[in-house]
Amino acid sequence: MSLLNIGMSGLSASQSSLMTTGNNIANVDTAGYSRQQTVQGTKASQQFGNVYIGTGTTLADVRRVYNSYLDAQLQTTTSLNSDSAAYLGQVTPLDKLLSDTSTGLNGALTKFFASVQNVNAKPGDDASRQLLLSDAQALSNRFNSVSSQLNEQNANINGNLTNMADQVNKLAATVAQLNQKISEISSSGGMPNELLDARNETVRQLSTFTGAQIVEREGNVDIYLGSGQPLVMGNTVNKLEVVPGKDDPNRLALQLNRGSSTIDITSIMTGGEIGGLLRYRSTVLDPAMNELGRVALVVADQMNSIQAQGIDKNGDFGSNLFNSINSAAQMAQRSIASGNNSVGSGNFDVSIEDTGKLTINDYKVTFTSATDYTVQRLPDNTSMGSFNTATTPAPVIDGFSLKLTGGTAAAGDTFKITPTRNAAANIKTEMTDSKRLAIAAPLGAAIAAGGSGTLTIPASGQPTLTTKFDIYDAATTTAMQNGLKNSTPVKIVFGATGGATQTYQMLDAKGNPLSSGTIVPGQNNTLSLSIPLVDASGAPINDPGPPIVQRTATFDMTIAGSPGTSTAINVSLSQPGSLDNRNGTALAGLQTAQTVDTGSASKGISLSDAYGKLVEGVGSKAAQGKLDSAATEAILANAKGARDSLSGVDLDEETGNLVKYQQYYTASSQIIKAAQEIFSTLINSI
Amino acid sequence: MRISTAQFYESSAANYQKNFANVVKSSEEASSLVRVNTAADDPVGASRLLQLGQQASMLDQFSNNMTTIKGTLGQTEAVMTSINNVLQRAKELALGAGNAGYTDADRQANASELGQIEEQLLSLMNTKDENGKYIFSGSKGDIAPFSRNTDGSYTYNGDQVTLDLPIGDTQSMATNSTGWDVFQQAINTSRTQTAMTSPAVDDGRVVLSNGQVGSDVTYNAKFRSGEPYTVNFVSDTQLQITDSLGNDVTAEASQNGVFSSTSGAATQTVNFRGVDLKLNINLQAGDVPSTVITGHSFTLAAKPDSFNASRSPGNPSAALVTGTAVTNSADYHASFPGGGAILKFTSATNYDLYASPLTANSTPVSSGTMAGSTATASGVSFTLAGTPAAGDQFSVAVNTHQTQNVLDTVSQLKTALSTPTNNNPIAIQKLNAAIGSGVGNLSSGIDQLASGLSSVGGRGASLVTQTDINQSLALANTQTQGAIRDSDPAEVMTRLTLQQTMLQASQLAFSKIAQLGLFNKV
Repeated sequence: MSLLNIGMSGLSASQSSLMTTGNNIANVDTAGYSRQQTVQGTKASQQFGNVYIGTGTTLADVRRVYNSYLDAQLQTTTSLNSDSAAYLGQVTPLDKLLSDTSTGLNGALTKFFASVQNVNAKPGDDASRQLLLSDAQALSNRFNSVSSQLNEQNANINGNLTNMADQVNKLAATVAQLNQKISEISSSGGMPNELLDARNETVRQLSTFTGAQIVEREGNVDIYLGSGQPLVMGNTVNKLEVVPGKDDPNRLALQLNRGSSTIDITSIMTGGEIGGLLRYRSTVLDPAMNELGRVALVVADQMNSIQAQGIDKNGDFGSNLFNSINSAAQMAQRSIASGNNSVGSGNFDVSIEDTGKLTINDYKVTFTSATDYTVQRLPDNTSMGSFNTATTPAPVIDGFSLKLTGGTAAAGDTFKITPTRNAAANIKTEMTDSKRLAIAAPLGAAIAAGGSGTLTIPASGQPTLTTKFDIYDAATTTAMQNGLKNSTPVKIVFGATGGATQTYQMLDAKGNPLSSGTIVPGQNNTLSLSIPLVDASGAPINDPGPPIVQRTATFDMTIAGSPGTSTAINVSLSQPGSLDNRNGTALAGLQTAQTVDTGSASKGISLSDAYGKLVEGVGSKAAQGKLDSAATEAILANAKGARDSLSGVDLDEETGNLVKYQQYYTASSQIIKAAQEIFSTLINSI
Repeated sequence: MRISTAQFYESSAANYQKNFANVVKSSEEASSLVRVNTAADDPVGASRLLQLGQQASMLDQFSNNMTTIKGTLGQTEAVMTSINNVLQRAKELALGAGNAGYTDADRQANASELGQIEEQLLSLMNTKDENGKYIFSGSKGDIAPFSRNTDGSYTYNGDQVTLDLPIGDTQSMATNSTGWDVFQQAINTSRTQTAMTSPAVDDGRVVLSNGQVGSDVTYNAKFRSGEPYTVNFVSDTQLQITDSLGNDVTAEASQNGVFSSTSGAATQTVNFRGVDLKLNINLQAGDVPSTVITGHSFTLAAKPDSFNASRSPGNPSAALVTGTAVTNSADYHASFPGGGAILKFTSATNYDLYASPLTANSTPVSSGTMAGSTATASGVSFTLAGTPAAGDQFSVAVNTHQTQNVLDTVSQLKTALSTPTNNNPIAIQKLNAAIGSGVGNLSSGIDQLASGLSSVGGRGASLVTQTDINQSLALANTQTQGAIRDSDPAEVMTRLTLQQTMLQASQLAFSKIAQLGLFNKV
């Protein structure tokens, strides 16, 4: 009888083993499946007199072959790999965009400057001027298109973040449910292998989206994000939400909703695709947009300023080539009021005072009282100082100045200042009439006929206007430009020869003396002269000050030789149709002039160098990203290999097991046959 | 180590993909032979390529500019050479006309040829380039540089600005030569004049020419400080020269002012402070030299600025300006517009003086009211014949006589040669003086033109050197760019072959191992 039981137990054990092996073979392709093994144990032996006889076998456990350490390694490497893959996926198209000569900025810049040189060679040629305008248009269009690509990338990132947060929430909910089921079954003494495998697989999928810390606690798996914010704790799930950033609505931020409160975790999310996108946005995309914007601002500001310093084909001072960088709309766009600000706090108008001093950082303004505020430079929060809204003129911080309009602030209000971010999208070519290109310098000198002596004006000694018109103060600039028209020509008359020095007097058109000075005859002398400006009726044009002072236009010129007595030089305004090209030469000089980042120790870099820096920066990040991606792929492959090596199903092994357990089954069935024969022998002998 | 079935297939697939991607990338590189496609391929190299690209474009622009300059220099040189040939012909005519054997008719023929030369010169000096801009005007490309005034003199309307183009990183070169440098600065050798002060009526006995400046240095150093001078003939052999302060400076005259009255009408030269004066004594029958010669006196001074005031055709009245003179030297030097002025009447007596050109925005330099028939503005008085009306305009051109344009020289020569002498010795002496002045000024003009030509030649030579330099720089630039950007074909092909082999090997390995399996054997 007991032999029958022994046989039965062997049979059922072998049958379970066969079923487990069959389960392994069927699940060879299931993701996250750990192969299962049966563990047999002996039943308790019975005592017969002095000897113990065993009573068969029992199935102790169906256990899954699993190493939690290898599993944890797989999860961390998964999130690392997804991070670098997502980063690489974003940075590679940006790198291509900037490097390609047909889509990048460098080609348009070079072509523009080549057109300027063409106009300089033939300033009177309308065709060359028109070509210059077209190339300016192409340049601003190129700025716009690169900028719109960058903005599109930002929009894509925003969209992706939303999708991924959704996925994370779904997966977290699944984990919580599995936690509950598993703890129910475990508490009643079972070991739900499939549920455990499913939970591991869900957690691994979650790791592709975000880096997470997994903690096993009493059979539950708790998931923590960032620096320890709980996403899943036992059965409870907190929701990961994507909302427009409080400081910067264009950039979506992630926040964890704990039911009673929400906390913003954007800055501490690392790992996974979400981490990779966030890392890309803050280290590559935002600086690239700011750098591109800075180059656009310098281009517009410098070229417009040079235009205002020269005379166009109609004989007027030049007008803006590109739209003004300090228009009302642009000034308001550069400041973003935080969503938490008090009602009626208004916004800042950010006006750019010195494009050379601009950096590529964003800034944060915090109000400490209704009128006092501190400015910090992001991302390292360097303090730029404390200021007051009542100070006039407004203080200039890193090339820009702030003016609060439209309301009054309260203590605690914060604003984010992005001086350069939108400039590349906003730059437009404003000039349409190629005659208004100012190529000629405003002042020209001519030696009056009838003089004696050896006075000459070298070609580089022609007068250059040193007074810089402020193109953002249109009223003063127009008044001064008209004043210059009314106050020229002036005459410089030299006094008697024969001493070590020679005196000269500057006279206005009517012969009234304006100023005087001395030169050393026989050498090169540089004269710095000031013309007091008068309007059409002869009244002086004043700077209200205080104190009230007449406005002047100063110019430098160089003379050589020894002027004879009463030799005179006439300095007059350039005529319409002048073929002079000195202002155009200044415009062409922008290609190599150091105009960007002039506040740094190197005294600045040129426009092309600034763009080159941007391209190189993105390129090196892309190269680094490629290396990172290759490295993390290798690490992930290793971790996966290690896990699969332990927990993966090998069909050959399972085949061997099938044969083995079949034999065991056959052997156990032989025991039953033997038991049956014993019984029938016993029955037949009676 | 245990390999699970899934692991085997996954790793085979991953390796195959990697090899395949490598093969594709290498074959792309083999077909384009460009190693640096984006900045990620070589960030530092990409940045250097951008800089090199900028340098290449600037070198390109320099070479374009040099082509432009070569073109303008070529045209300028051709025009200047033509003008030089014409001036040489004019000089021949002038020298020939001094031949004693020429009759009035011969000189008339020379004069008419000089007239043609004058027209030719004017047209050559007003040459336009292929864009229709005048080449000698400086920056005033739309304004003809030389124009003729009503009295036959010429005015320069251009300016003194050179148009520079960059031909190297730190070097610019002028594309044009201004009319000021090439023509206007020719020194006027006849910038002194003499005027007989006693006797009141010229008796023809003593003819003193206006003088020619033989030595510029001496003239500038000594003559100008003492003018105006008075030349007195104190006897028939001695003349006395006193300066403006009354000092006797005869010692500085050649031969101490001694001349001869007995050698007929032969011309004698008195050289004083750099000026050569031609003296002719024409004694008539019955003259006693000591009585006739003594008492003549002349003033000798630099020619004062002269004005040419012409009436505009559209004037309401028929008033004309008959005389001009500088009455207030300080005012004149301070405010009179040197480039030309417009005298405009606002009523029959009130007038304003503007600088030309007169535009809608011009403001008057000075204004005034007529005193009698004289209008004085900025130190110059204009005598008018007739009554002016409101709206009358007179354009005033200034000639300072320090320098003289060859056009004026040729014009004056032509006038002199057209004047018949009728064998009058005095007329002949005046004619000779005029021819001497004309020849001297033609030489001066030819010298000035020669220096203009050498400037053009110098620039051309400098261009040749700069072209070579720029070409070497461009070549080095291209080579450096190639070294950074291009890939080595041999290396790429080797790599491609290796990767193809690896791909084939992994394909083979996969197919072989996939066939193995215990399932098939059981």
